[in-house]
Amino acid sequence: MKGTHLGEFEELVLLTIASLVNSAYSVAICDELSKHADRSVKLGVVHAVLNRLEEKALVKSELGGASATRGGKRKRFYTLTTAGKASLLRAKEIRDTLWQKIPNLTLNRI
Amino acid sequence: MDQKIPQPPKWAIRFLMWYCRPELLEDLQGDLNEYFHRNLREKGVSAARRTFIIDVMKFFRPYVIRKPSFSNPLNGKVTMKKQVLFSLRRLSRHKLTTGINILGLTLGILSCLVIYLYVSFEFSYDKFHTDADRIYRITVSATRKNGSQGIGASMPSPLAADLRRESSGFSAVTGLYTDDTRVLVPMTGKPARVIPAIGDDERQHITFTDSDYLKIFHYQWLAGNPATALQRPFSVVLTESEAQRYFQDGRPEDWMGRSVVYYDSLPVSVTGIVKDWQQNSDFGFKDLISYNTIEHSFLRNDMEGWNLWQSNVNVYVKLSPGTTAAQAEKQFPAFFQRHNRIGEKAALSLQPLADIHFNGDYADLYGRRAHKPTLYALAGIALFILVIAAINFINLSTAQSILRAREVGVRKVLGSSRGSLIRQFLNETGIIVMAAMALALVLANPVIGALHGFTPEGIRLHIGDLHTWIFAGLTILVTCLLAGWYPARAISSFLPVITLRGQGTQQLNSKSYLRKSLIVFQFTVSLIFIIGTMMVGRQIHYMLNTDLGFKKDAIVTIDLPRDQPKNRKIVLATEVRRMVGVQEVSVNSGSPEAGSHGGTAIEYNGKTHTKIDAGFVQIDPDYIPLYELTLVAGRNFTIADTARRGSDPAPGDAGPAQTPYRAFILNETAARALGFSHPADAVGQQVSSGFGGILGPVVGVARDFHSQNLHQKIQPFFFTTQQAAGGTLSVKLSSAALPAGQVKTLMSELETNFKKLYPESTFQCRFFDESLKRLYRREQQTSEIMDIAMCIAIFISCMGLFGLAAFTANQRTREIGIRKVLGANVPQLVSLLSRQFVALVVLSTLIAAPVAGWAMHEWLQDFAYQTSMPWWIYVLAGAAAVAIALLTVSFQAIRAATANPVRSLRSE
Repeated sequence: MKGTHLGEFEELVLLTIASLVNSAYSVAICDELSKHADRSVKLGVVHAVLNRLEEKALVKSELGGASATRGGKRKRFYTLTTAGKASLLRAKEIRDTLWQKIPNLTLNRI
Repeated sequence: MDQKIPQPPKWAIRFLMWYCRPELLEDLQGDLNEYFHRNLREKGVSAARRTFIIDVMKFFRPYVIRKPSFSNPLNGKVTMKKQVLFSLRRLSRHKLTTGINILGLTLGILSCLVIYLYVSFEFSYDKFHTDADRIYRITVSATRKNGSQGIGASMPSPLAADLRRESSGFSAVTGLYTDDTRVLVPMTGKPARVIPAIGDDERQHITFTDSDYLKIFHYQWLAGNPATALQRPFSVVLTESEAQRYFQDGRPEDWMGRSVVYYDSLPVSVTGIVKDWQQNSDFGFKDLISYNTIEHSFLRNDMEGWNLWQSNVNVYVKLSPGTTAAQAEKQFPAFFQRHNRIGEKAALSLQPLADIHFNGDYADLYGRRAHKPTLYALAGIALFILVIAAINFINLSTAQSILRAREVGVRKVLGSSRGSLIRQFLNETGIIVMAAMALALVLANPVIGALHGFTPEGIRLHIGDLHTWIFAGLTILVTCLLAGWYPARAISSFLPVITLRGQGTQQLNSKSYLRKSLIVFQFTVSLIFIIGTMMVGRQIHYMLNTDLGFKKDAIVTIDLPRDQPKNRKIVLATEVRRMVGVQEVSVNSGSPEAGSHGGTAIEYNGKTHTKIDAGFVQIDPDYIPLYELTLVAGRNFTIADTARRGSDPAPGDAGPAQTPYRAFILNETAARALGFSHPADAVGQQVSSGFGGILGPVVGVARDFHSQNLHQKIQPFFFTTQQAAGGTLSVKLSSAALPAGQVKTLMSELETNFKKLYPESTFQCRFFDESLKRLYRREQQTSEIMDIAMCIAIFISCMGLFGLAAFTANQRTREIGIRKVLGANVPQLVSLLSRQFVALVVLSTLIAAPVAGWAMHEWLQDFAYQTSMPWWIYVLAGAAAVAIALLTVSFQAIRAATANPVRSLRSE
């Protein structure tokens, strides 16, 4: 297995899925990410990451409702698995620990 | 309303559906649709479509692409190992077919392999030099005084030195003066070792050259310094192998400074030892003697300066980096103008090194020329043979597919996919092709050894060579696909419903058209080879047996050394004339027909001044009766003509320049070219010839004879008197049909006489008719290659036919049994089985005849004198092919027809 290590973009996608709660499907994730991360996110990249996350069992997916704009094709909705939640938490923990070690960091000091 | 909404391009959707994994497809397609609609709103139709297409392409990545689905639950578990096992079982069950296929493909692949080795050998020449693309040879295109054109690589001897001084753009300019001589190697305390000259047939390996040569062609130096080794006169650089040949033992350092004597009287000392080149090269020089040795020795007398294009002088240059050949050539006209004393219009140009090995227009005395069209033709022949072998495979496999129809049906019913069936069949093909390749690799070197006579030395299959393996791999791949693809597809396409119902044959009948056309193709190729072989053989026979205008049987020619007093020739001639079994003896400068004759101008000052170029031979009065040349007018030379000729300025073979001619015998063509409408009118007229321009009478006119090979038209030619001047002794034996033993005694007697007068020279003696045959060596080679190609093509085609006939006979066993029971006799049955094959061969003849006729017509254009192409050649070739096919087929047919019907009918 590739292990539970999360890449930066993987982490972002996971967070987005979590934040979108029950309406997390590829296009929505893409839009949300573009909005918040302030960078253009390509559908192909998101798909690849979702695929990888599912392989790592961090997310699970099921097919949901169809719409006319999708040409009658159903959406695939993603939700976090327990492992996914755990790895998100762990990533946050690591960051927090590291943040706490920094005595006093403000931008203008740099 | 729905229809009006623009849709994404259909083909892109189809492409997506084709490659995308089914489990990802719905979601992905939905997303793309959503984006499409969004883009439609925001950017318009065309942009939306474009983005859609781009996205579809972008999703073509590993995790999206579906796994190729060869396998399925039942067959998927069949491993490669099992497939190979299946294939081996099948192959061993059909031994005849397998054997025919392997044998045929081995022959095909072997031909390809050997020809590949040959062709790549020729193309490897002189590829290894550093900056090979900057190395050029200087060539000349000259317009002679009489207006005729000539090209060559011969150069005036001082050209290299003058060019180096007066030109720019060359980083090196070097002249070669090549020669062949015997070599004396002085030994301490022992008599000198004598290393004989190599003789006319071999390529020269001794050259005079300078340090620039070493800048153009690099060597690995074992001893000595490349910068200084060739600077001083009387220095020589030897290659390691040559030094070993001369000094026999020791190391390179020991050989330095030792003395070697060329021309019996030119001692030089060794100043360098270099490693022999391992790669193929036309520059096989082993003795590099410093060029300034020439001007410090008697050799300067041989140098004609700027007066002559000297055939053993060549000039090579290396361009400076950044200079193009065209730029360098620009300085040639002015340069040549400054020096020209030849009095001809001539243009110098540069010939790239890469062209030298293949361009037969420029002769030199050390390189070997390869004939590119021949190489291409060979490659074509190899390909045809491989295709014929592949056709055998296709034919036999599709024929046998009837047997396999049920197997395919069962496999398919059990869930085998078409892909896995194709793989299984290709697997079988692969095993056969690889077996054939293995055999071919083993046989390649022995076969090359056997072809020794007409392939150049040095061709070998090197098992360690990467290129060989690449070639082998490619050949296997191509052959597999060529031979296996169609049968694999055809067999795997059977519908189980039909094959399992037992009506497989109906579906298969349509295939026999393909099979028939393939047989026709095979035999067409074979027939073209047959007709070609017959025509080449016919032309050679014609050339060797046509009336050349002189006698060629029972004549022996002996080379006489040119640097010996001429009275020895007369003594030798007298001695030989006394021998028993010798009928006639003549001393002359050459045979009536040879690869080349001396040539010079001949002039007649009649009503108009006429000057023509003509070949000539210097002869004595015995020459014309000896060769039985016919005089149409006038008389032969007499002793008086010879005696009145005047004296030679120097012993030996003085050139025509110093010799005042007295009498001439022209051939008819020369007489006509000089303006005599009746050749006989020339008799008694005064003509002049040669550089000296001495006038002399025409005493006779000889009937036209072929002075060159039959590629050329008969050219103006003349004989002139020269007592004992030439370097050839022609001896006519009393009878062509002397027993071998007597010929042998005569030869040794000739040698004894020769050695008595020329103890130091090698005795070289040839039968004249053999020498004539050598003029047609290339045609002989073509003929041999055609013979071999024909045999292989016929053999492979017949094997295929044999296999097919065996199969058909086998299929129709029951039918034959019934016919026999009902009263058919053996001939009827044999004809029943053979008829269709014979019809196919006849059809092939009809196709092959015009193709071969055209090809041979083209080939014959190369000859000024051609044999005829009678219609019966085609009939004969067709008949031969039919006979061979019939023989092949009838073996099976007779076996089937004579079998006891009880056996074939009992099993019902």
